[in-house]
Amino acid sequence: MPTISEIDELPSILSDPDLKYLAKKNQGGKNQRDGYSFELAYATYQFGKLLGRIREGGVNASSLWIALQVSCFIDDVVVGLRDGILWIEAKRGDVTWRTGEESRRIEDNFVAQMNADRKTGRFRGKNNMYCLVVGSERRAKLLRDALPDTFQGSHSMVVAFTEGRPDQIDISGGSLVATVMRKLLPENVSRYRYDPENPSPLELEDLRTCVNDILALVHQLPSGEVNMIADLLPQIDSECRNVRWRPKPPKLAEDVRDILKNVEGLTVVSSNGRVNYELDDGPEGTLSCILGTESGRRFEQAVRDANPKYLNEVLTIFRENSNG
Amino acid sequence: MADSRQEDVAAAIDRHLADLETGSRALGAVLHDMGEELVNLWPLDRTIEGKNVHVVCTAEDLDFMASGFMSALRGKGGRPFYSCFWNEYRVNDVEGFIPDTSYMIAQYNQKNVPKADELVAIASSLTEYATVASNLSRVIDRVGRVPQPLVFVPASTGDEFDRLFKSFEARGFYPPPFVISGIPIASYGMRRHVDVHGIFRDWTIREYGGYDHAFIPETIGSQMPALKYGI
Repeated sequence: MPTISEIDELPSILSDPDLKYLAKKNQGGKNQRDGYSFELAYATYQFGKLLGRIREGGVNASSLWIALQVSCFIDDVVVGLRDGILWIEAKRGDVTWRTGEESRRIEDNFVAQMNADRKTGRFRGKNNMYCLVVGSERRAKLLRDALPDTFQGSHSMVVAFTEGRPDQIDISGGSLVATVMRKLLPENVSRYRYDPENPSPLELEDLRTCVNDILALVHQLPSGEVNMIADLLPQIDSECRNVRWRPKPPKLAEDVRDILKNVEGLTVVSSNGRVNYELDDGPEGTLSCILGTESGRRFEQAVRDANPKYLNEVLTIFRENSNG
Repeated sequence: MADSRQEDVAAAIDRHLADLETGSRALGAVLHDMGEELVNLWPLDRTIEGKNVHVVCTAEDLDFMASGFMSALRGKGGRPFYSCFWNEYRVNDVEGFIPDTSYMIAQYNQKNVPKADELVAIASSLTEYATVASNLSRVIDRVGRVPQPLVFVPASTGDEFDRLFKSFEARGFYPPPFVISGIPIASYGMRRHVDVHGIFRDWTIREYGGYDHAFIPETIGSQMPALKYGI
């Protein structure tokens, strides 16, 4: 596990009361269903953003990480970027900067984290961002207008996240989640028309499974640990069928394409990382296979092994390996 | 005034569920009969005769429940046609905190169908509620304006019903499709609890070698000469 100085060295600079406070602060964790659901939904959004950066290229996954409910003053979601850390405190309720126990108010915790980062951080906290996420734009504005003076010199912000609970995440046209997650959809959904004012349920259904995939993965992440995104990519490949993080879709292997070219009665088409067939004069309806996945590899190997000559042989291979 | 048909249908579905549980009749025949029976709960304020009814179902349900339903619809003067989906299901969190995911593996839509007057989902159970929500949502876009879609199911627990309801709510459908259950849904679940999903699932695995496999139902196979081979 990598060393993140802001997290790992924090105990060494804290007093006993602070250490006891941090130990107690995390006790609610996943058991506090309501608060956790808000954190989880926002962590899912942040996780999607990280994957989106990788997919757009130019960002190395090994420089990115995410941690949930760490033992720090700002502890809900912590995102590691190449040059700094994004500290996130998520509060669904109507909080102010002064919400919390005496000397442990939200403002106090932000200041404590900023001060600690100045002592432990790689860049002395210079590139770190401190973010309070709340459930409504109205609340966010109130908090922005009342940004404590004690934050001066640090990058702090207040963000409204109105997208809802995990089972009700809003993925309609202009929602934050939809904007981020759409970039992660498999290439084949681009065949669906998309109109932000009137999004097609065809695309929305793919988007919903994409969001659920990431929700489930983030929900499984162990609390209090730094999770390197690069280490999670294989898990995304195996568990998140409707999520794509690779910049370029793989192509059907050349030898497999040559074998399929000789089968009469159907045309095999490989595009955007997916292979499917078009029956000559056949009915509407498709069975297709996503390449670059385990079943995609099985499909290619099955074609090599069977070396099919007839339509029904190819259809059998498709039926056995179809995955999306 | 209470709908007097409900008690008769509930009694019939109760008998069918008992048959399913004991295995005294062939599973396909029981599900087919349940589908036929459910048509009797068609809302009184909507006519069937002369209506084009677009039925949405899974590949597993098509040959049995949906087939029985469509056959009874025809008997009442309706014109049914269907969209069939192959789905792979994933329970993301046993506590139900994270909604389940239903991946669409494949779909089959009848060609040259007339414009739908009614949209109906047929499901042998709501255990895999995300499948019903996902498949119906996909078709809602395609059929254009129709009255509030209907979901027919033989029996369901209150919990399954709630999850289905939430799934549609999360998809922005309000009011969500109207769920018509053969046995009325009570807070404690169905009057007689029979694990329709489990029984059907076991049977499908035995018959087809897998549950989420893209097998071709007979109803489609008989219309798809090209796909008859290799089934």
